[in-house]
Amino acid sequence: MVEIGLKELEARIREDGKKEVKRIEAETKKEIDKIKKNIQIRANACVDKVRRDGELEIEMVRRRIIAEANTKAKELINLERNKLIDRVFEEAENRILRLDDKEKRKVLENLVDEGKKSIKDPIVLVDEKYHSLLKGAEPSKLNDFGVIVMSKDKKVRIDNTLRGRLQQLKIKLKPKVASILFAENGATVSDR
Amino acid sequence: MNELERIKEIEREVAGEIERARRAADARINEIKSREKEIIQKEVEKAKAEMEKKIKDAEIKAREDAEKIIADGKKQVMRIRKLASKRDTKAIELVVKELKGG
Repeated sequence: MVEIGLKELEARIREDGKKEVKRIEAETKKEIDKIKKNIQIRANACVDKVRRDGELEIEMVRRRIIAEANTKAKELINLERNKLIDRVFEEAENRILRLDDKEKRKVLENLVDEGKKSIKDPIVLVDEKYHSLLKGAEPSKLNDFGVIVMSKDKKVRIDNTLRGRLQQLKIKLKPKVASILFAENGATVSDR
Repeated sequence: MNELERIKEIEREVAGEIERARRAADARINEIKSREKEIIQKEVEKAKAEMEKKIKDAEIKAREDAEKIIADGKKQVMRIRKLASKRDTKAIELVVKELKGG
């Protein structure tokens, strides 16, 4: 056994103590660094989620605003197209109503003849205002130009009044009218 | 004080220092652990603020683009109005012909 002096032993105990304190401090630093790193990893994950959600929100906001604008632009165009098409039918109606009596008579006769293609020996109703223009027709309160052609038993009835025909023609001729008004390079103006 | 007591006294002193170092270490570790939520929250808040700004900027940009789309729509309206004004006579004649029958 090596004998050491008291002073030396004291110094060694103190030195060992210092070493232990340093070791504890080093371990603590290591542990704190590890905890900080883990906190940073968790914080990064949370931040990434916030950013991902934010990017999605940006995309959704953009899509919604652009979709609304596209819809509004389409509505503006469609509204205008429909207005212009309606104007054609209105003007056509006005032209018919502006015809002189001779031409009106011819139109009424044509409308009766059309009805007669479906109904033999029919009853023909015409508004009182135009009764003088059409021989053989019964005056009625149609409040409209044109005729109503119906079978004697009144079971079959053809509405050849101006309003009735316009209604039918709006369905039948709308694509053709649109094509005449808006076609570009052989195609109809498309909705954009 | 004999020599043995002197040594024991020094050992107690050193053990006390070590114990204080351990307690200080535990305190530092507990302190950082207790601040975990606060640290994460701070980073999240910062990220949220950044994203809110980005969302606002994106909304401003999208609204500018939307205005262009609507302006294009209005130009298109003017164009079809002009186009229709040149061709409406033909369309009206078609409808008049059909209305006249025969």
